[in-house]
Amino acid sequence: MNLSKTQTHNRGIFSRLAGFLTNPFGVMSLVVLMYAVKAVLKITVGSQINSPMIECDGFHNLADILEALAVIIVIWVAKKPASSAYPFGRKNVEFFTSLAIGAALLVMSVQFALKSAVGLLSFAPGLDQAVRALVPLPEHQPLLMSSSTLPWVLALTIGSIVLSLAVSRYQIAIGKRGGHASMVADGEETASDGRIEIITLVGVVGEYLFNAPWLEYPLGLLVAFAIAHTGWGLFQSGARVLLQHSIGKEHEEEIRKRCLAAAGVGQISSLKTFQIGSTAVCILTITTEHRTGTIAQLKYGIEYHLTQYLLDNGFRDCELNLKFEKPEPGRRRIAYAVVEKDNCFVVAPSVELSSHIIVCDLENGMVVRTKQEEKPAAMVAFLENKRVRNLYVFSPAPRPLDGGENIAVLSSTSYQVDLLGLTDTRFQSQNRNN
Amino acid sequence: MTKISCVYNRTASGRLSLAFAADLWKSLNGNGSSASNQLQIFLQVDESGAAILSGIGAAGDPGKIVGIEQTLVEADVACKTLLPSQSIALCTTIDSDAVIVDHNLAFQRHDLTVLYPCRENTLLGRGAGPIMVPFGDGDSVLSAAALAFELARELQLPVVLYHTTWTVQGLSSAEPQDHMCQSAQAVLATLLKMATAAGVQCTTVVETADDVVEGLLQCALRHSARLIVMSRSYKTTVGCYVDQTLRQTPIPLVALASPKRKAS
Repeated sequence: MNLSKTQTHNRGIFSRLAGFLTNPFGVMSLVVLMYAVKAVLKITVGSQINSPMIECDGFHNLADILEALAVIIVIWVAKKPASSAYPFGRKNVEFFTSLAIGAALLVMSVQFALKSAVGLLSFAPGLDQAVRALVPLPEHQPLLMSSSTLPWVLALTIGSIVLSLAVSRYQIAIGKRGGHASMVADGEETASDGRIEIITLVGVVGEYLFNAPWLEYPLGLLVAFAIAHTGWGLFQSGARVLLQHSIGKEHEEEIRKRCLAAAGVGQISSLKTFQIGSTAVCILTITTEHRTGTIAQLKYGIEYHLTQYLLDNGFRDCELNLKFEKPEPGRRRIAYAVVEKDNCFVVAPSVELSSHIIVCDLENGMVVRTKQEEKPAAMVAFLENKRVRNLYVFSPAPRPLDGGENIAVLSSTSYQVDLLGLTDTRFQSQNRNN
Repeated sequence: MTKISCVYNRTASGRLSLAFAADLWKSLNGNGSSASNQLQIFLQVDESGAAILSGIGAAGDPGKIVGIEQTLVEADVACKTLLPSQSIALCTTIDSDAVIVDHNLAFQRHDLTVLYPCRENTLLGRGAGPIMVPFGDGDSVLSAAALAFELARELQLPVVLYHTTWTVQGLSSAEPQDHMCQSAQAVLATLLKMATAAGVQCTTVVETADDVVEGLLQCALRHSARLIVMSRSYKTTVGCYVDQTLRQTPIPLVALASPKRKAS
C-alpha cells in the first residue's frame, strides 16, 4: 500500500517535472539559470586569471539574461487569447523579438569578423599598417595565457560550449513545437554564442598545443559568416511576418494546385496569404458555376485539403477565408429563325421560310433568356439593333443575309427548339400533354 | 464493358455532358472500339417538327429532314469529341442498360441509370481519385457497387465504401462500426467480397454523421473522390438520398435506376 503511494507520489513529481521542462516558461527559466551560472563563473574566473576576454564574455551573458527575460515577457503577451480588439491574438509580438535578435546577431557577426580580420592582419605587420592607414581598426589583443590558467580556461570554455549547444537545441525544439518564434530566435542566438566559444577554444588549443594561434582567425571569419546567415534569417522571417509578406511562392502554388484539384472549382481569381504568429492566413476568391447548396460542400472540401497541407508544412494553425463568385458572364446574343405552327416552333431552313425570330441572351454559352419576335420586315436592321452577331437556320449550307455583313448566318444542327435550349422543357412537355 | 451513352443537346450543359461522356468512353475503351461498344448519342426524333418543316416546303419529306438532322448532329459530335465516326453510334431510343451522361435526366428519370457530370468535362482531369459507394442496410446498393467495381477495375481506381449509422443507446464503443446494424454489416461483408472478386482496392469508412447526405459528401471530398455511385431504392417515397445528394454534390454522381422501376 505504502509502495503504491510512493509510486503515485513519484509519478506525480515526474509528470510535473516533464510539464515544467516542456513548458516555454520552464525552458526559459532554465536558460536564465544557465546564463546566470555562465556569467558568475566567467566574471569570477576572468577576474582571477586577469583575462579581460573571459570577463567581458561573462558580462555579455548578463545581457543574455535580460534578453531571456524579455523573451519570457513576449511569450506571456503572445499567449494572451484573441479578443475583439485583437481578433488574431498578439502572436506577432514574437516576431519583434526575432527582428531584434536577428539584428543583434548581424551586429555581433560584424564585430566578430572584424576581430578575426584584425587578428589575421597582426601576422602581416606591413599589410596591417597599410590597412590601418586607410581604415580605422580596433587594436589587436593577443591571447595571454599561462600554463597554470590553461586548465581553468579550457574547463570553462568546454563547459560553456556544451551548455550553449545543448540548451539551444532544447530551446529551438520546444519553441518550434509550441510555435514560439521568439524562443526559436533566442535558441539560435544561444547556438551562435556556442559557435563563438568553439572558436575561442580552437584559438587557445591552437596556441598551446600546436603553437598556431592564427588558426583561430580564419575559423572566426567562417563562424562570423554563419552567425550573419542565422541573423539575417531571423531578421528576414521577423520582418516578413510583421510586414505581412506572403507565406511563400511554393506554398501558394501548392494551394492553387489543391484548390483546382477539387471538383467544381473553375479558377482561383485571387489568392492572398500572410502569417500571424505561426498561423497561416489565406484569402481566396474562387470562381465556380455552382449554387449555394453545392458551394457549402465545395468550401468544406477545399478547407479540409488546405488545412491539411498547411499543418503538414510547419504552420500550427490556419485561417482560411474563401469567397466564391460566378465567372464573368461573357454575355452575347444570338438568334434563331423559326417557323411556328399550332404553337409549336421549329428552326426554319432559311430566313425566307421563317415566321419568327427567337433572340437568345447567352451567358457563358448558356441560353438564359429568349424572346420570340415576329419576323421583321427589315431583318438586318432588326438584328443589328438587337446586337445579334449570329443567326442560326436549319440548313447544312445556310445563305448569308443580304446587306448583313456583320451578322453571320450559321447552321443549326437540329430543328428541335428544346434541344437548343430555347424552351423551358417543362413548359414544352405540358404543351405536348395538353 | 460499361456502355456509355449521352443525350444530345446543343446547350452549354449538353456540351459539358458530351465532353464528359466522350472522355469517360475514351478512358474505358482507349483508342479502339467494337461495334458493340460505341459511344451512344441519343437524339430524340421529333416527327411532328419534321412534318412542319416538310409542310412549308423545306428539303423534302419528314424522313429526309430527320436524316439531315442526324447527319448534322453526327458531324457536330465528331467535331466536339474528336472521335472517329465509327466510334459514335447515333440512336433514337434510350438504351436502359447504358450509363447515360446527362445533366437533366438524373432529376427527371428514376428508371434510368444516369451519370450527372456536375458541370465537369472530364472524370479524372483533376487527378485520379477513388469512386465512392455509399451504402445503407438494403440490397439496393449491390447494383451500384457492381457498376462501381466494374468502373474501378476498368479505370484502375480504388473504391471507398461509405456508411453512416446512428449510435446504439447504451453501447459505449467509440468505434462507429460497432454501432452498425446487423443488416448493414451483412451488406458490408457482401460488398467487400464483391471488391475482392473484382480485384479492386477497397477501403471502408463508417461514421456517425449528423446528416447522411452531408456526411457522405464530406467523406467524398476528404478522399478527393472522382465519382459517387448511388442506387435508388424503390421503397423510398419521400427524402430520397440520391435526389438530395444530386442537389448538393460538386462531384459527378451516377444515380442507378431502381431495379423494379428500370425502363425496359
